[in-house]
Amino acid sequence: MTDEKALIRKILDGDQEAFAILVTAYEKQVYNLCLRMCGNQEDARDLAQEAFLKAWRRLQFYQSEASFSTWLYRLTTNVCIDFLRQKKRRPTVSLTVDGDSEEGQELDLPDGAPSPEDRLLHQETSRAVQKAMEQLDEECRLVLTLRVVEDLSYEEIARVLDLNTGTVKSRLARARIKLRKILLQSGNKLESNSSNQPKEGRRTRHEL
Amino acid sequence: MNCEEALVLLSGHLDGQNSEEEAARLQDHLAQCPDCRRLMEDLKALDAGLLSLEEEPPTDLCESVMEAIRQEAPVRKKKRRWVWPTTAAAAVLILLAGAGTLAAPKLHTTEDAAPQMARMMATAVEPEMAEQEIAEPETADEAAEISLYSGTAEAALYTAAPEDSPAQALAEERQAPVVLVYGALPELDGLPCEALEDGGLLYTLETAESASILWEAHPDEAVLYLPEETAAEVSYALLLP
Repeated sequence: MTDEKALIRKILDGDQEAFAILVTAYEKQVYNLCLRMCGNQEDARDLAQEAFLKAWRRLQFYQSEASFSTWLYRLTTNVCIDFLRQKKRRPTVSLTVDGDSEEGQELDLPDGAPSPEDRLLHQETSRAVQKAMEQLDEECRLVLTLRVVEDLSYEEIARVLDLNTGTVKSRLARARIKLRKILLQSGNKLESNSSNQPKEGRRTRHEL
Repeated sequence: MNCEEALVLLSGHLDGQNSEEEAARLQDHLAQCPDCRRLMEDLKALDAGLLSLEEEPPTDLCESVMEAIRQEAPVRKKKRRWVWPTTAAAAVLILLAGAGTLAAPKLHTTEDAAPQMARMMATAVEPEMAEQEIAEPETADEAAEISLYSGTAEAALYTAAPEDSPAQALAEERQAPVVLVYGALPELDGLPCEALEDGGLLYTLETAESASILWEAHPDEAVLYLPEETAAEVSYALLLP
Protein backbone atom coordinates (compact mmCIF):
# COMPACT_ATOMS: atom_id res chain seq x y z
CA MET A 1 0.00 0.00 0.00
CA THR A 2 1.71 3.17 -1.13
CA ASP A 3 -0.21 5.32 1.35
CA GLU A 4 1.17 3.19 4.10
CA LYS A 5 4.71 3.52 2.83
CA ALA A 6 4.35 7.26 2.58
CA LEU A 7 3.01 7.27 6.10
CA ILE A 8 5.97 5.28 7.37
CA ARG A 9 8.37 7.64 5.67
CA LYS A 10 6.60 10.52 7.35
CA ILE A 11 6.96 8.85 10.74
CA LEU A 12 10.64 8.14 10.16
CA ASP A 13 11.09 11.77 9.17
CA GLY A 14 10.06 12.71 12.66
CA ASP A 15 6.27 12.85 12.75
CA GLN A 16 5.83 10.45 15.61
CA GLU A 17 2.14 11.23 16.10
CA ALA A 18 1.45 9.74 12.67
CA PHE A 19 2.30 6.36 14.16
CA ALA A 20 -1.16 6.44 15.78
CA ILE A 21 -2.66 5.93 12.32
CA LEU A 22 -0.76 2.67 11.97
CA VAL A 23 -1.77 1.58 15.44
CA THR A 24 -5.42 2.27 14.75
CA ALA A 25 -5.25 0.42 11.45
CA TYR A 26 -3.74 -2.72 12.97
CA GLU A 27 -4.72 -2.78 16.63
CA LYS A 28 -7.58 -5.22 16.16
CA GLN A 29 -5.43 -7.73 14.29
CA VAL A 30 -2.51 -7.41 16.66
CA TYR A 31 -4.66 -7.56 19.76
CA ASN A 32 -6.58 -10.62 18.61
CA LEU A 33 -3.42 -12.49 17.67
CA CYS A 34 -2.05 -11.74 21.14
CA LEU A 35 -5.35 -12.69 22.74
CA ARG A 36 -5.48 -16.09 21.06
CA MET A 37 -1.83 -16.76 21.83
CA CYS A 38 -1.89 -15.80 25.51
CA GLY A 39 -5.52 -16.58 26.29
CA ASN A 40 -6.50 -13.60 28.42
CA GLN A 41 -7.33 -9.96 27.86
CA GLU A 42 -4.94 -8.48 30.35
CA ASP A 43 -1.85 -10.13 28.89
CA ALA A 44 -3.14 -9.55 25.37
CA ARG A 45 -3.31 -5.85 26.00
CA ASP A 46 0.25 -5.77 27.34
CA LEU A 47 1.53 -7.89 24.49
CA ALA A 48 -0.21 -5.79 21.86
CA GLN A 49 1.27 -2.67 23.37
CA GLU A 50 4.70 -4.26 23.44
CA ALA A 51 4.37 -5.32 19.81
CA PHE A 52 3.51 -1.79 18.72
CA LEU A 53 6.33 -0.33 20.78
CA LYS A 54 8.74 -2.78 19.18
CA ALA A 55 7.42 -1.81 15.77
CA TRP A 56 8.00 1.81 16.68
CA ARG A 57 11.54 1.20 17.84
CA ARG A 58 12.40 -0.93 14.85
CA LEU A 59 10.60 1.03 12.20
CA GLN A 60 13.87 2.13 10.62
CA PHE A 61 14.68 -1.52 10.01
CA TYR A 62 11.44 -2.09 8.17
CA GLN A 63 12.21 -2.80 4.53
CA SER A 64 9.46 -1.52 2.35
CA GLU A 65 9.77 -4.54 0.02
CA ALA A 66 7.93 -6.61 2.60
CA SER A 67 4.38 -5.70 3.39
CA PHE A 68 4.06 -3.80 6.62
CA SER A 69 1.37 -6.12 7.93
CA THR A 70 3.60 -9.17 7.39
CA TRP A 71 6.40 -7.40 9.22
CA LEU A 72 4.08 -6.42 12.06
CA TYR A 73 2.63 -9.93 12.35
CA ARG A 74 6.16 -11.26 12.62
CA LEU A 75 7.03 -8.85 15.39
CA THR A 76 3.80 -9.64 17.20
CA THR A 77 4.34 -13.37 16.81
CA ASN A 78 7.81 -13.05 18.32
CA VAL A 79 6.52 -10.98 21.21
CA CYS A 80 3.88 -13.64 21.93
CA ILE A 81 6.32 -16.53 21.64
CA ASP A 82 8.78 -14.82 23.97
CA PHE A 83 6.00 -14.29 26.45
CA LEU A 84 4.91 -17.92 26.26
CA ARG A 85 8.49 -19.12 26.68
CA GLN A 86 8.92 -17.06 29.80
CA LYS A 87 5.62 -18.33 31.09
CA LYS A 88 6.71 -21.89 30.44
CA ARG A 89 9.62 -21.50 32.81
CA ARG A 90 7.07 -21.22 35.56
CA PRO A 91 5.63 -24.56 36.53
CA THR A 92 2.38 -24.78 34.67
CA VAL A 93 0.40 -27.63 33.30
CA SER A 94 1.07 -27.93 29.61
CA LEU A 95 0.21 -30.41 26.96
CA THR A 96 3.20 -31.62 25.10
CA VAL A 97 2.97 -32.49 21.48
CA ASP A 98 6.34 -33.48 20.20
CA GLY A 99 7.81 -33.84 16.76
CA ASP A 100 9.01 -30.76 14.94
CA SER A 101 9.41 -32.10 11.47
CA GLU A 102 6.46 -31.69 9.22
CA GLU A 103 7.39 -34.44 6.82
CA GLY A 104 6.73 -37.99 7.80
CA GLN A 105 4.62 -36.97 10.72
CA GLU A 106 1.36 -38.77 10.72
CA LEU A 107 -1.77 -36.80 11.03
CA ASP A 108 -3.88 -37.78 13.94
CA LEU A 109 -6.92 -39.13 12.31
CA PRO A 110 -10.05 -39.52 14.27
CA ASP A 111 -10.28 -43.20 15.09
CA GLY A 112 -13.37 -44.51 13.41
CA ALA A 113 -16.75 -42.92 13.47
CA PRO A 114 -17.27 -40.75 16.51
CA SER A 115 -20.02 -41.90 18.81
CA PRO A 116 -23.05 -39.62 19.12
CA GLU A 117 -21.86 -38.04 22.37
CA ASP A 118 -18.50 -37.35 20.73
CA ARG A 119 -20.07 -35.25 18.06
CA LEU A 120 -19.24 -31.65 18.20
CA LEU A 121 -22.47 -30.00 19.06
CA HIS A 122 -23.57 -27.15 16.94
CA GLN A 123 -24.54 -25.16 19.93
CA GLU A 124 -22.63 -22.10 20.97
CA THR A 125 -19.10 -23.46 20.98
CA SER A 126 -17.17 -20.27 21.57
CA ARG A 127 -16.27 -20.96 25.13
CA ALA A 128 -15.35 -24.54 24.44
CA VAL A 129 -13.25 -23.51 21.45
CA GLN A 130 -11.54 -20.89 23.54
CA LYS A 131 -10.63 -23.41 26.21
CA ALA A 132 -9.50 -25.91 23.63
CA MET A 133 -7.30 -23.30 21.96
CA GLU A 134 -5.58 -22.73 25.29
CA GLN A 135 -4.64 -26.39 25.37
CA LEU A 136 -3.43 -26.50 21.81
CA ASP A 137 0.33 -26.23 21.32
CA GLU A 138 1.46 -22.76 20.37
CA GLU A 139 2.64 -23.69 16.89
CA CYS A 140 -0.82 -24.91 15.95
CA ARG A 141 -2.55 -22.08 17.76
CA LEU A 142 -0.48 -19.57 15.88
CA VAL A 143 -1.12 -20.97 12.43
CA LEU A 144 -4.85 -21.38 13.10
CA THR A 145 -5.18 -17.86 14.43
CA LEU A 146 -3.31 -16.34 11.51
CA ARG A 147 -5.50 -18.26 9.08
CA VAL A 148 -8.95 -18.21 10.61
CA VAL A 149 -9.00 -15.14 12.84
CA GLU A 150 -6.59 -12.90 10.95
CA ASP A 151 -7.68 -14.23 7.56
CA LEU A 152 -4.18 -14.45 6.12
CA SER A 153 -3.60 -16.49 2.99
CA TYR A 154 -1.23 -19.48 3.04
CA GLU A 155 1.35 -17.33 1.28
CA GLU A 156 1.10 -14.58 3.86
CA ILE A 157 1.32 -17.05 6.73
CA ALA A 158 4.37 -18.61 5.07
CA ARG A 159 6.03 -15.20 4.95
CA VAL A 160 5.17 -14.38 8.55
CA LEU A 161 6.41 -17.70 9.90
CA ASP A 162 9.25 -18.33 7.44
CA LEU A 163 7.72 -21.57 6.25
CA ASN A 164 6.83 -22.84 2.83
CA THR A 165 3.18 -22.94 1.87
CA GLY A 166 3.11 -26.74 1.84
CA THR A 167 4.13 -26.75 5.47
CA VAL A 168 1.50 -24.15 6.28
CA LYS A 169 -1.13 -26.30 4.62
CA SER A 170 -0.23 -29.50 6.45
CA ARG A 171 0.24 -27.68 9.75
CA LEU A 172 -3.23 -26.17 9.45
CA ALA A 173 -4.76 -29.58 8.83
CA ARG A 174 -2.91 -30.96 11.82
CA ALA A 175 -3.92 -28.01 14.00
CA ARG A 176 -7.59 -28.42 13.14
CA ILE A 177 -7.56 -32.11 13.96
CA LYS A 178 -5.78 -31.53 17.23
CA LEU A 179 -8.19 -28.79 18.21
CA ARG A 180 -11.16 -31.00 17.39
CA LYS A 181 -9.67 -33.83 19.39
CA ILE A 182 -9.14 -31.60 22.42
CA LEU A 183 -12.70 -30.34 22.15
CA LEU A 184 -14.16 -33.81 21.94
CA GLN A 185 -12.04 -34.98 24.84
CA SER A 186 -12.94 -32.05 27.04
CA GLY A 187 -16.57 -32.63 26.16
CA ASN A 188 -16.20 -36.15 27.39
CA LYS A 189 -14.49 -35.03 30.50
CA LEU A 190 -17.25 -32.65 31.35
CA GLU A 191 -19.75 -35.43 30.94
CA SER A 192 -17.75 -37.85 32.99
CA ASN A 193 -17.19 -35.26 35.69
CA SER A 194 -20.87 -34.75 36.12
CA SER A 195 -21.48 -38.45 36.42
CA ASN A 196 -18.23 -39.07 38.33
CA GLN A 197 -17.19 -41.66 35.81
CA PRO A 198 -13.81 -40.75 34.44
CA LYS A 199 -13.19 -42.46 31.14
CA GLU A 200 -9.54 -43.36 31.44
CA GLY A 201 -9.73 -45.33 28.26
CA ARG A 202 -10.04 -42.19 26.23
CA ARG A 203 -6.71 -40.76 27.28
CA THR A 204 -4.28 -40.20 24.50
CA ARG A 205 -0.74 -38.98 24.21
CA HIS A 206 -2.08 -35.46 24.06
CA GLU A 207 -3.06 -35.65 27.63
CA LEU A 208 -0.84 -35.51 30.61
CA MET B 1 -7.75 -41.11 -1.75
CA ASN B 2 -7.41 -42.12 1.87
CA CYS B 3 -8.78 -40.20 4.83
CA GLU B 4 -5.43 -38.77 5.74
CA GLU B 5 -5.07 -37.06 2.39
CA ALA B 6 -8.72 -36.02 2.55
CA LEU B 7 -8.03 -34.31 5.85
CA VAL B 8 -5.45 -31.99 4.33
CA LEU B 9 -7.84 -31.23 1.49
CA LEU B 10 -10.69 -30.66 3.93
CA SER B 11 -8.60 -28.09 5.68
CA GLY B 12 -7.62 -26.58 2.34
CA HIS B 13 -11.28 -26.50 1.36
CA LEU B 14 -12.18 -24.50 4.46
CA ASP B 15 -9.41 -22.08 3.59
CA GLY B 16 -10.47 -21.84 -0.04
CA GLN B 17 -6.99 -22.94 -1.07
CA ASN B 18 -7.62 -26.15 -2.98
CA SER B 19 -7.01 -26.42 -6.69
CA GLU B 20 -9.90 -27.53 -8.92
CA GLU B 21 -8.36 -30.95 -9.18
CA GLU B 22 -8.05 -31.22 -5.39
CA ALA B 23 -11.60 -30.03 -4.95
CA ALA B 24 -12.86 -32.72 -7.32
CA ARG B 25 -10.93 -35.47 -5.57
CA LEU B 26 -12.20 -34.29 -2.21
CA GLN B 27 -15.77 -34.36 -3.46
CA ASP B 28 -15.28 -37.93 -4.69
CA HIS B 29 -13.95 -38.97 -1.32
CA LEU B 30 -16.65 -37.20 0.66
CA ALA B 31 -19.30 -38.87 -1.49
CA GLN B 32 -18.20 -42.24 -0.19
CA CYS B 33 -16.87 -41.47 3.30
CA PRO B 34 -19.41 -40.52 5.97
CA ASP B 35 -16.64 -40.09 8.57
CA CYS B 36 -14.97 -37.40 6.55
CA ARG B 37 -18.32 -35.72 5.90
CA ARG B 38 -18.89 -35.52 9.64
CA LEU B 39 -15.34 -34.36 10.12
CA MET B 40 -15.89 -31.55 7.67
CA GLU B 41 -18.96 -30.36 9.56
CA ASP B 42 -16.97 -30.40 12.79
CA LEU B 43 -14.10 -28.47 11.29
CA LYS B 44 -16.48 -25.90 9.87
CA ALA B 45 -18.00 -25.44 13.31
CA LEU B 46 -14.52 -25.10 14.77
CA ASP B 47 -13.58 -22.35 12.35
CA ALA B 48 -16.82 -20.54 13.08
CA GLY B 49 -16.25 -20.92 16.80
CA LEU B 50 -12.73 -19.60 16.48
CA LEU B 51 -13.85 -16.62 14.48
CA SER B 52 -16.54 -15.84 17.02
CA LEU B 53 -13.82 -15.32 19.62
CA GLU B 54 -12.63 -12.18 17.90
CA GLU B 55 -12.83 -9.15 20.16
CA GLU B 56 -12.48 -5.42 19.85
CA PRO B 57 -9.19 -4.18 21.28
CA PRO B 58 -9.28 -2.05 24.45
CA THR B 59 -10.39 1.45 23.52
CA ASP B 60 -7.34 3.04 25.11
CA LEU B 61 -4.78 0.73 23.49
CA CYS B 62 -3.76 3.22 20.83
CA GLU B 63 -3.51 6.08 23.31
CA SER B 64 -1.38 4.09 25.72
CA VAL B 65 0.95 3.02 22.91
CA MET B 66 1.31 6.64 21.85
CA GLU B 67 1.85 7.75 25.44
CA ALA B 68 4.69 5.24 25.79
CA ILE B 69 6.16 6.43 22.50
CA ARG B 70 6.12 10.05 23.57
CA GLN B 71 8.20 9.09 26.56
CA GLU B 72 10.81 7.54 24.34
CA ALA B 73 13.31 9.35 22.21
CA PRO B 74 12.19 10.13 18.67
CA VAL B 75 12.92 7.47 16.06
CA ARG B 76 16.65 7.21 15.77
CA LYS B 77 17.88 7.08 12.25
CA LYS B 78 21.34 6.05 13.20
CA LYS B 79 23.11 2.93 12.16
CA ARG B 80 24.35 0.69 14.85
CA ARG B 81 27.23 -1.42 13.75
CA TRP B 82 27.70 -4.19 16.22
CA VAL B 83 25.05 -4.60 18.77
CA TRP B 84 25.61 -6.66 21.83
CA PRO B 85 23.21 -7.37 24.63
CA THR B 86 24.79 -6.63 27.99
CA THR B 87 24.64 -10.28 28.92
CA ALA B 88 27.16 -10.92 26.19
CA ALA B 89 29.65 -8.55 27.78
CA ALA B 90 31.95 -11.38 28.72
CA ALA B 91 31.88 -12.58 25.16
CA VAL B 92 32.97 -9.14 23.98
CA LEU B 93 35.98 -9.25 26.21
CA ILE B 94 36.88 -12.69 25.03
CA LEU B 95 36.47 -11.68 21.42
CA LEU B 96 38.67 -8.65 21.91
CA ALA B 97 41.21 -10.71 23.75
CA GLY B 98 41.30 -13.15 20.90
CA ALA B 99 41.39 -10.52 18.18
CA GLY B 100 44.77 -10.60 16.50
CA THR B 101 45.39 -6.92 15.95
CA LEU B 102 44.35 -5.83 19.37
CA ALA B 103 46.41 -6.16 22.47
CA ALA B 104 44.80 -8.77 24.64
CA PRO B 105 43.52 -7.14 27.81
CA LYS B 106 43.33 -9.08 31.00
CA LEU B 107 39.85 -10.08 31.92
CA HIS B 108 39.61 -7.96 34.98
CA THR B 109 36.74 -5.83 36.04
CA THR B 110 36.28 -2.59 34.13
CA GLU B 111 38.12 -0.59 36.76
CA ASP B 112 41.12 -2.89 36.63
CA ALA B 113 41.28 -3.21 32.88
CA ALA B 114 44.52 -2.62 31.04
CA PRO B 115 45.09 0.92 29.78
CA GLN B 116 44.24 0.02 26.18
CA MET B 117 41.01 -1.40 27.39
CA ALA B 118 40.18 1.70 29.33
CA ARG B 119 40.94 3.76 26.26
CA MET B 120 38.74 1.63 24.08
CA MET B 121 35.91 1.56 26.43
CA ALA B 122 33.48 4.21 27.48
CA THR B 123 31.24 2.95 30.20
CA ALA B 124 27.78 3.98 31.18
CA VAL B 125 27.03 6.07 28.15
CA GLU B 126 23.58 6.70 26.79
CA PRO B 127 22.53 4.66 23.76
CA GLU B 128 22.86 7.79 21.65
CA MET B 129 26.58 7.51 22.27
CA ALA B 130 26.57 4.62 19.87
CA GLU B 131 26.22 7.27 17.21
CA GLN B 132 29.47 8.89 18.03
CA GLU B 133 32.76 8.13 16.45
CA ILE B 134 35.34 6.86 18.85
CA ALA B 135 38.72 8.28 18.05
CA GLU B 136 40.98 5.32 17.70
CA PRO B 137 44.30 6.56 16.31
CA GLU B 138 45.61 3.29 14.86
CA THR B 139 42.59 1.88 13.21
CA ALA B 140 40.11 4.73 13.14
CA ASP B 141 39.33 4.46 9.45
CA GLU B 142 38.68 0.78 9.40
CA ALA B 143 37.25 0.60 12.83
CA ALA B 144 33.85 -0.88 13.35
CA GLU B 145 31.82 0.13 16.29
CA ILE B 146 30.62 -2.27 18.84
CA SER B 147 27.91 -0.89 20.94
CA LEU B 148 27.14 -2.79 24.02
CA TYR B 149 23.85 -1.85 25.40
CA SER B 150 20.77 -3.06 27.09
CA GLY B 151 17.61 -1.11 26.48
CA THR B 152 18.23 2.45 27.51
CA ALA B 153 20.57 1.65 30.36
CA GLU B 154 24.29 1.32 30.24
CA ALA B 155 26.35 0.99 27.14
CA ALA B 156 30.00 0.72 26.37
CA LEU B 157 31.78 1.35 23.10
CA TYR B 158 34.63 -0.60 21.67
CA THR B 159 36.40 -0.46 18.39
CA ALA B 160 37.73 -3.42 16.51
CA ALA B 161 38.82 -3.88 12.94
CA PRO B 162 36.17 -5.53 10.70
CA GLU B 163 38.67 -8.12 9.48
CA ASP B 164 38.74 -9.50 12.99
CA SER B 165 35.12 -10.44 12.73
CA PRO B 166 33.99 -12.82 10.03
CA ALA B 167 30.40 -11.83 10.70
CA GLN B 168 31.09 -8.13 10.18
CA ALA B 169 33.12 -8.91 7.10
CA LEU B 170 30.25 -10.97 5.71
CA ALA B 171 27.77 -8.23 6.51
CA GLU B 172 29.87 -5.73 4.55
CA GLU B 173 30.50 -8.14 1.69
CA ARG B 174 26.84 -9.01 1.26
CA GLN B 175 25.53 -5.62 2.29
CA ALA B 176 23.08 -7.39 4.53
CA PRO B 177 22.57 -7.80 8.27
CA VAL B 178 24.25 -10.89 9.69
CA VAL B 179 23.30 -12.42 12.98
CA LEU B 180 25.99 -14.55 14.54
CA VAL B 181 24.40 -17.37 16.50
CA TYR B 182 26.06 -19.48 19.14
CA GLY B 183 24.11 -22.62 18.47
CA ALA B 184 21.72 -24.15 15.97
CA LEU B 185 18.51 -22.25 16.69
CA PRO B 186 15.24 -23.98 15.85
CA GLU B 187 14.23 -21.10 13.56
CA LEU B 188 17.07 -22.05 11.22
CA ASP B 189 15.72 -25.51 10.55
CA GLY B 190 15.11 -26.04 6.88
CA LEU B 191 16.40 -22.66 5.73
CA PRO B 192 18.70 -22.48 2.72
CA CYS B 193 22.22 -22.85 3.97
CA GLU B 194 25.71 -22.62 2.50
CA ALA B 195 28.90 -24.01 3.96
CA LEU B 196 31.70 -21.47 4.28
CA GLU B 197 35.37 -22.27 3.74
CA ASP B 198 36.18 -22.08 7.41
CA GLY B 199 33.50 -24.62 8.20
CA GLY B 200 30.88 -22.09 9.24
CA LEU B 201 27.29 -22.36 8.07
CA LEU B 202 25.53 -19.37 6.56
CA TYR B 203 21.75 -19.47 6.55
CA THR B 204 19.80 -17.15 4.28
CA LEU B 205 16.93 -15.44 6.10
CA GLU B 206 13.95 -14.38 4.10
CA THR B 207 13.95 -10.66 4.69
CA ALA B 208 16.46 -8.01 5.64
CA GLU B 209 14.97 -7.60 9.07
CA SER B 210 14.88 -11.33 9.83
CA ALA B 211 18.37 -11.20 11.31
CA SER B 212 17.42 -8.54 13.83
CA ILE B 213 14.21 -10.37 14.69
CA LEU B 214 16.21 -13.52 15.31
CA TRP B 215 18.69 -11.59 17.41
CA GLU B 216 15.89 -10.05 19.41
CA ALA B 217 14.32 -13.44 20.01
CA HIS B 218 17.62 -14.84 21.28
CA PRO B 219 19.53 -11.97 22.86
CA ASP B 220 21.73 -14.34 24.82
CA GLU B 221 22.55 -16.59 21.92
CA ALA B 222 23.11 -14.20 19.08
CA VAL B 223 24.94 -11.05 18.05
CA LEU B 224 23.75 -8.77 15.31
CA TYR B 225 26.11 -7.22 12.78
CA LEU B 226 24.87 -4.48 10.52
CA PRO B 227 26.70 -3.41 7.38
CA GLU B 228 27.53 0.16 6.53
CA GLU B 229 24.95 0.01 3.76
CA THR B 230 22.08 -2.44 3.68
CA ALA B 231 21.35 -3.19 0.04
CA ALA B 232 20.24 -6.82 0.11
CA GLU B 233 16.66 -7.91 0.57
CA VAL B 234 17.67 -10.86 2.67
CA SER B 235 19.77 -11.23 5.79
CA TYR B 236 21.92 -14.02 7.12
CA ALA B 237 22.49 -16.11 10.19
CA LEU B 238 26.05 -17.29 10.71
CA LEU B 239 26.81 -20.38 12.74
CA LEU B 240 30.54 -20.69 13.29
CA PRO B 241 32.13 -24.12 13.75
